[in-house]
Amino acid sequence: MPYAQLNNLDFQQIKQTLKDYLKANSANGDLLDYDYEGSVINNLLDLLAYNTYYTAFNTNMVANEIFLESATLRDNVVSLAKQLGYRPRSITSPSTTIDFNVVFEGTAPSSAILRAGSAFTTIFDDSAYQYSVIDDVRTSVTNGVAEFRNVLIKEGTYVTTSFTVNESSTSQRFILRNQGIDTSTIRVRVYSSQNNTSYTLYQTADNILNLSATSLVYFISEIEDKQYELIFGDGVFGRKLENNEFVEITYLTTTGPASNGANSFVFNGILEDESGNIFTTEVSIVGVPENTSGGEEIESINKIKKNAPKVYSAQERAVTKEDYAALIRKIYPATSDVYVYGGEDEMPPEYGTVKIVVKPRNAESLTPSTKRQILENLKKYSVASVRPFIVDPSILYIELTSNIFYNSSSTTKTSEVIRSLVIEVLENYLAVSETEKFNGKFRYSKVVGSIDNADASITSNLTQVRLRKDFYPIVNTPSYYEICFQNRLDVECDTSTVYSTGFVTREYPNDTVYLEDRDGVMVIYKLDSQTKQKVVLNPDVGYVDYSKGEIKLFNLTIIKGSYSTNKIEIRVIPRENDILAKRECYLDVDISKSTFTVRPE
Amino acid sequence: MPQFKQFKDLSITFDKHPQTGDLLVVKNENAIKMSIQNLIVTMKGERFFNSSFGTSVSALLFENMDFGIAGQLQNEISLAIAKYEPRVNLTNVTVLPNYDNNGYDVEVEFEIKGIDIIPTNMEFFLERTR
Repeated sequence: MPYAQLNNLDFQQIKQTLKDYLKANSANGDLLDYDYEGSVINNLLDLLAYNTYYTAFNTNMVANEIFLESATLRDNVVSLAKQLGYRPRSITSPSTTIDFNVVFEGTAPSSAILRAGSAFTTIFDDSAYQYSVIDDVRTSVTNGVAEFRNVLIKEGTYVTTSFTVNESSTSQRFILRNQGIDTSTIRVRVYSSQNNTSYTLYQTADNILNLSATSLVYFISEIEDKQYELIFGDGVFGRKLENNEFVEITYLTTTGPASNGANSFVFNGILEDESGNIFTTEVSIVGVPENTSGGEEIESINKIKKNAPKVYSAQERAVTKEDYAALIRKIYPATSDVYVYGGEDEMPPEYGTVKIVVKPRNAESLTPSTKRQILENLKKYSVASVRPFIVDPSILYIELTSNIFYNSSSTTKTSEVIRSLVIEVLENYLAVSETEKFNGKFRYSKVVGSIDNADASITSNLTQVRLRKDFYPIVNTPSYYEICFQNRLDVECDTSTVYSTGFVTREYPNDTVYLEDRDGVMVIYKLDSQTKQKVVLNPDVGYVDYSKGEIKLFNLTIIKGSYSTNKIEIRVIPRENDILAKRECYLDVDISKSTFTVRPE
Repeated sequence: MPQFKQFKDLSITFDKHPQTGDLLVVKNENAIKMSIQNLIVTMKGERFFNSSFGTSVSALLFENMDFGIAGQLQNEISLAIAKYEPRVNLTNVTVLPNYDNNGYDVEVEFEIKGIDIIPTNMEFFLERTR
């Protein structure tokens, strides 16, 4: 019987089911006009179908929002992740460490204090950013100079929020109303009363392990609209706050990754002595700080869905490879991808170690200080006898040379607009495909198809692929280099398969020389200044294994690379257009160094 | 002898029958007239999931009254009936501005399909309401 169909979720189907019911039950001529849109009974059917549709939609939506995998609203996803003991990561501010000296002329205090919230400023990408210390930093003054070393600064605006505990209110909550809070910068001080100056510092707790009734801890919980609530102990797990206690909470609100990469700072903070006297004096930054890094947006809904079960399965300990991968993402959110392998897989084997290859976002590798921080944070999760090491990824870049043809009579767009469209489509494809990662796969046909589909006017494209590896030579030292592309190289092309950017060697200090292959042998040549012809200087500095995709260079003493960082780029032409990366090799399609030429057909 | 299919619909007034207490029912010609009237006064987009059902009559009634708008009203009504009232063959629609009463006199003439009788007509007055 038609009416028994309960699986219709579409309005028209529901209405049709109601019509079928009337048809089956009005044989004696009760009501006949349900088929005509203008009739009153048809109006009523609309109303009934809409009501059913509305209820069905709501039920479906509610059912979806109950489960982590199908929930779509952030508040619900966060709530479901909480049940797995997972707190979604907040927005993270970029940070770096900085060294600076304060020089006192005349009478100098015994020590100098850089107050929390005191700031450096930087201009990056034409925008100004404020960097602050989140805790007071003290140092002694020696011979009129206060030397501040390894001062951790983070981007953001320093905010203070306070509450007075009111036990008579059963609904008092400690909610931080600002958006963009980096929860790692939250500091909680509890005073016995508002007028008291001594305080106790509370620590954040992620779980109830090792907590007692007197533990000075608080829990952080993300609530609606990406705000955070602090939850204090109940007298069983963590100390319970008492009436009239004054809670002062400080934190940074940040813009996230926008200023990743800044390294030029100007001091505009507050320096005091122990008595609270503010002094203005000359501050000089020592050296060039490392580029700021680690800034990251708040964890997205998709990432919460992906990470929450993994972190839950890791159970706060690093045993399996997956545990390490999940915990690294938790410790260092600005991670693009992680690859973990045991030291026993190394050649020669290194038993008792675990190698973690981390590819950060917007950088080729982690800075030394970031590596130290990650390893320090990883200690509490690691098995005692296993030593983790962070290894820089080997990045295999793919560069495209694409000639794109379009039908100019079928579009009003210019070549430049179509080029922009192609780049946008490619970037979107790469964002969702399994290309840019460890063990990534570059699918040539998909990329070529994406280019064709970027605009209806594009008729075809001829796209060539080349691979690039950047290597940093050991300057002024005779060295052996092995550069592995992991993919077979082309041997049938007329021109060289392998070629490099220019560099300087000890043997030819006055010339910029280049590498290329000739019948499997690597040669060094220079360009004649007059004729621009290639002049071979050394006909045998190594060889190429085309089938393995390996280049070996022997006894090469490089004194200067191609760029200020001494980086040298080596490019090769692969035999197959589908490219694979294995193990610690990270695949990266370098759009900025690819060429897209758009021509009317 | 072929049997004429009856048309039967509820009354839009939702009044009840004085004797039986059931909802009033309208039949045949009256059911169709009520359906046409319902169609004309329904604004496009008003019906759930059927945004093209209805007419733009309500909007046109707020335009300056003249024969041009009367022509548009006539067109709207004709198109709507032709599309959504398959029970009739429309023979004529007349819309005339009634300046004294700030509205339009409308006369719709049609034949009911399958009934061999003289053409039916319905007259009504369209005026803007808030």
